[in-house]
Formats: sequence, C-alpha cells, structure tokens
Amino acid sequence: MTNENDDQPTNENDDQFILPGIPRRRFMGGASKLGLFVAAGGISAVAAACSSDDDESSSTTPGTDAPTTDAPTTDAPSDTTAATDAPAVTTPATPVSDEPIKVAIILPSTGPYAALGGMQARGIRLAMGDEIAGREIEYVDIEEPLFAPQDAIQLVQNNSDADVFVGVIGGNTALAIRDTIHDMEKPLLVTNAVTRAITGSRKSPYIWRASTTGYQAGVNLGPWMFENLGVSMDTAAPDYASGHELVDYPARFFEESGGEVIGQFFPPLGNADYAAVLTEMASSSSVFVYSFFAGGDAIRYVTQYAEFIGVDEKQLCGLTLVDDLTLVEQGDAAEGVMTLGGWNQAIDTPQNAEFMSAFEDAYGELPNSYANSGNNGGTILRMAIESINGDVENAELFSAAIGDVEFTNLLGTDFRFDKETHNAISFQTLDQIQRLDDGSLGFVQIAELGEAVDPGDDVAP
Amino acid sequence: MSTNLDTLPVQFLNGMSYAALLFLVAAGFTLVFGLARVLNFAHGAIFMLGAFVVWEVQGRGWGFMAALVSAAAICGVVSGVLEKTLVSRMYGRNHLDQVLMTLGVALVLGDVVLRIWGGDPRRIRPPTFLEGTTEIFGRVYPYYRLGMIVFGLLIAFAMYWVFQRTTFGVRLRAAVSDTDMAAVLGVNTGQLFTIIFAASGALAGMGAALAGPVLGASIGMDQFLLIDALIVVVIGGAGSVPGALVGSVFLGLANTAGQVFAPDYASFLVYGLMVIVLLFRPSGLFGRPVVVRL
Repeated sequence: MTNENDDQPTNENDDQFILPGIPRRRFMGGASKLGLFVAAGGISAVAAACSSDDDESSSTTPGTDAPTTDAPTTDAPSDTTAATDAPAVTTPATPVSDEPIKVAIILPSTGPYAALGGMQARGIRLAMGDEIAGREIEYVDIEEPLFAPQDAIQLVQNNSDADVFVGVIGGNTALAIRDTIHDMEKPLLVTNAVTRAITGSRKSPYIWRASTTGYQAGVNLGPWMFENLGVSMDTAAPDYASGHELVDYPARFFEESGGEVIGQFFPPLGNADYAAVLTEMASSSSVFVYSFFAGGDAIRYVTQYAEFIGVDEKQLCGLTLVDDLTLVEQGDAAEGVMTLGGWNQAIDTPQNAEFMSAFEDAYGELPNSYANSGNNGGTILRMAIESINGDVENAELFSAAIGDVEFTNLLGTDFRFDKETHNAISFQTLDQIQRLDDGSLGFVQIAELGEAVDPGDDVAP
Repeated sequence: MSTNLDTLPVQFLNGMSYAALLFLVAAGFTLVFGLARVLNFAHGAIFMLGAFVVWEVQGRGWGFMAALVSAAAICGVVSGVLEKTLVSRMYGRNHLDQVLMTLGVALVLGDVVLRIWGGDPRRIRPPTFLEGTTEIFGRVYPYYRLGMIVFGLLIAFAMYWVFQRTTFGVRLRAAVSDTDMAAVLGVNTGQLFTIIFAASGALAGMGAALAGPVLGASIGMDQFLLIDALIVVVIGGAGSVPGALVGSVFLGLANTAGQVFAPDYASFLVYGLMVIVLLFRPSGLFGRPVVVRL
C-alpha cells in the first residue's frame, strides 16, 4: 500500500486542523506558546511515567488476571481475541515482561473525520491483534481533538504510561504533540498527517511517519503531468495549509519541468459550491486541471467538474479525487479522472485478498484506503515489536526497530523508512477511473511514477 | 484570479444559485430567530439530518419528491419535539442559555446521524427532469442550478404569503410583537411556537433536498452551513423573510465574486461584508431595531 493512499486522505484531515475562521498564523502562535507548556509538562510527564512504571511492577498480577477487561479495545477483531487465551503456546521465547504493551491510538471517533479515524483504528488493531512477542496488547483510544490541537498535549500526557503512540490525522495535532512526545521519549508512528515539518525541521528520534508529504506528492507527478497531460494547467484545492502544500509542490515541479501554471484557485475550506472556480477554469487557456480534494469535497468537486467542464474538455488529474467510497457516489462523473495511486479494493495481490477477508470477518464490512493506512501502521509496529522480542520499555531500541521495518505492502510494493528524516519512502503510481470489461467503473493503473523521497528540507513553521 | 469578463454573466448565475442554496439553509433559521427569539444552533444539524434522509430515501429508488417530503416530515417532527421538550423550557432564559442548549442538541444530533448513517459523505442526485446541462451565455450550464434559483424564490414567496396574507400569519406576527398581549387575546402562543419550530425543521428538510444535488450529505456540513446561515440572518435582519432573501443574494454574490476576483481574500470577504452591514445597520438590512423590554 504505498503510503500514498494514506497520505492523500491524510491531507484532507490535515486540512481540518486549520479551521475556516482561524487563520494559520494564530495556530502557529498558539503552538509556540504551547511549546512552553510542553517543556514544563514534559518533565511532569516523565515523572508520571516513572511512577506509573513502579506502580505497574507492584501490581503485576491484577493486570494479567483481567486481559479481557481492556475496555477501549471494543473494536478488537474477534478472531484474534481468541489468541489471548494461549500466549504461552504462540510465544517462541519467554516474554520480557508479563505486563501488557500499551498502544495509544490517537484518532477521531466523532465529527467529520469519524469514519476515517474509525477505519484507521480498525486497521491498526487488525494488524496488531491482541498479543505480540508473548505480551498482551492493550489499546487506549485517545480522541484526537482536531479542532483544538492544543488539547492533544494534555491527552498524550495523561497517557504517559503508553509504550507507543500511533495514528494522528491532523498535521496540527502532530505538531502540537511533537515536543511532548520528544520529551517523553516514547515512539510515535504517524499514519495519516502530511505536514512536512514533522519529518523535516521538527523531526524527532522518536517520531516516524508512514504517510507521505506534499513534496512527495509533487516530485514525480509534476514532471509526469508536463510530459503527458500538457504544457499548462489550472489548479484548485481547499484554502488551508495542507491544501496549499498539496498544490504548491506539484505546481513547483510542473513548472521546473517547463510547464506553466495559469490560474491557482483556493476556494474557502468548507465551500460547498465550486461553480465559480469551475467556470473560470472552463474559460481558462489551460490544457488540463490539477486538483486536490478529498472525501465529501471530492464528491462535490468531481461531480461539479463533470457538469461545468468535463474530462473530455480538460483532463482532471490530482490527489484523492476518487477512492472506493467516493466512486460509488460520483459514478459516471468520475470516469476519466486521474488520481495519484493508492490502495483500492481491487488491488490484486495475495496479501490484499487476505487483508480484505480478514477485515470483513472481523468488522462485517469491507476496508477502505484509511483502513489500509491503519493496517500499515499496525504492521510496522507489530514487526518492530517482534524484532525486539517485545522489549518496548527500551524506547530507543523500540524506535530504532520501527525505522528498520521493511515489508511488502498490500499494493505489492516495498515499504521502508528514510532513516534520515524518519519519513516513509513511497513508490508512486497513477490511476485512472475507467469503464471495466464488466461495465463497472474501476481503478486502472496508467503509470508508474517511481519512488518519492522527501529530503526534509522544509523551513520550520 | 483571472478577470475574464466574458464569464461574468455565468458567474452571476453561479452567485444567484449559491444564494438560493443559502436561502434554503437560512430560511428556517431566521424564522425561529425572528419569531421565537431563539438562536437555534441545532438548525444546521437538523438540515444535515434532512440531507441524510434524502440520500436514504433516494437510495431506495423512491425518487426525489418522496425524498423531499420524507426529509421535510422527519425534520419537522424532530424540530417540533425539540421545541416541546427542551426549547419551551428556555423561553424565559437569556440567549446564552439557549445557545448552549441548542448547541448541545446539535452535537448530540450530529453524533446520532453519524451513528445511523456512518461518516461517509454522500451525493444527492437531482430529480430526473432537471438532470443534464444546457447552453447559456455560450457556456455549458447545469439545469439544476437554474432550478435551484426558482425553488429558492418559490419558497421565499410562499413564506412571505403565509406571513402577510393568512390569519395564521397575523397571529404569528401578533405573538411576536407582544407575546403576552397575544395570549390575552386568545392566541395559543405556546402552540404557535411549537408550530414555528416544526415549520422551521420542515423548511430545513426541504432545503436539504433542494440544495442536496449541490451540497450532498456529509458529517460536519452543519457547522459550515450554520455559520453561513448566521451571516445571512445578520445581514438581512433577524426574522425577516425578504431580509433572508437579500442577505442570501449578498452572500452568494460576494462568495462568487471573491473566488473569481480576489481568491486570496475570498474567505474574508463575506465576514467583511457582515462587519460593514453591522456598522451601519446593526439590526440588519431589513431588521427592526431590537427593543429591550424589562
């Protein structure tokens, strides 16, 4: 699954973190002020962590007595639950500790990103199961406060006894908790946020990202669009930090290849009607259109694009414009649209078939690209914990083990981290929505764009 | 960004169709605010509920009209029950209490919708006779956009007619200008307010259906819509149907013009417009000055 899929949905999430009424500057200011709190809070968090460790060692037995009472684990797949009964049988070596490994999942379960967060959490749980390296896995759900990122700091501190944090949809959340995580010296695996800083100017030895950045979205796509779609383009994306990031880089690399960007449109975030922008683009001299929209925005944008312009008139290429969920709603309007490749239900690899059926067995519905992002994150953590035989208390060892993880993802491409930036290296493809032989609409891969690496040279926010 | 003058007529249409959409959202909101003097922050959530009902009914193949009627009925009942059970206890209280209560209801309702339909965004299709596009001012234009302008005007006219030309409207206006006096004269004001809330909910459901082919249905849409509705009401004046109509046209055109001519300031433009109106007409273009009664 190249992380690209994930990334793209991620982007939209990121967006969310900058609210329409709240200018970006204010968030930044808040973040730096918060930094002070974080520095202070970090110390107390470490202290709390130490004391809770002591508590745990003195209360080992109650913990092991009640493996099923981990309340937050409501979504745990039923087939893996059975495994908890027989840890001794499946464990190759003696577990380093009888204590459960505490995994804190930071994702939203309410609001506009509830579906996305829920799918990702399920993906994480499905991949990790209830027991790794002979140690029970205990999940804690942290409600990601997408509209109040500063609250995330306290929530993370409240869970300072967690062994690892995973999830994070909003780039604002990631940046808000960065210092806290760094000071707590606990690993954080970001599965969705796209903001460059978290693996660039604000990187940390403890933070890894399995999703990708705007830079990665553009580095291969920009030149490809120039060579294959035309010499000039208009762009459109929602007006917030990630919207700009996910347009600016593709536009930059498109221009560096020799292309010309005619009009750049950023309709306000939450804008329901793209008629004004589409009318301008229809009369523009551009050859094609590049856009980033996701979720409900993508449904409206793609259907309105078909009404006002149409891909026969101008090709439409972009990020997260179509996925399995939106395609059902967009229908014919999506035919011909090109979107940076990612996971979809039709991916034909053995590991994906296995994932799809395991997911459906566990949760009674088919996964989507967000579930794949979660599955990626969960797989990375599981492999890392296995490789250190469950010794997660050694956070430096654990974090390094996360960075060493390499595997073949559900798309059949190789996943690995950039050890320098801690960002995922993604292998990119381009899909087009085409009429398949059976008459239905589906994803057809039309190009392999190659590997994308973010050099992490962003300017500190 | 581009100042392409030959797109102006089409952009004007875009602005008007967006204005129609805004009016459909704001109509019920301004009704309740103007008549019951309650800032009903749950209005957006009820609108969202209506959108999902429309999607559900349409998905069953029952057609657009059935979806519209179902959404209006369900939203009307929900809104009426809300008034009867919760809001009616708050009439004597200050606005802040009412806002907190209706905001709470909005959050609960939002999560109920999330629980019932999941968080996936949905598309609502136009009625079959308005599908497709036509050519207008030399450009391709969707039929439905034109239809929406007509629907908006029809609903505005219907509301105006009810207020000004029916006995019910007379009772309503009497209850608004002096609730106690109207009650003394035999108007059942408690029942009237329940009816107003139910009508406001029904308008939201209808609006969700009519605006549906553009707006779709998604979790979180209520928050953005509520802000737009508030701006429309502030500009037009609380409780005034013509005010809501004019406020919608202002906002619709400003929104479109902002995106075309000053994209960098598009987000700000509508708020700037609101500030200017508030500076010169604190009670809105069509609002009456608020009389504080002790």
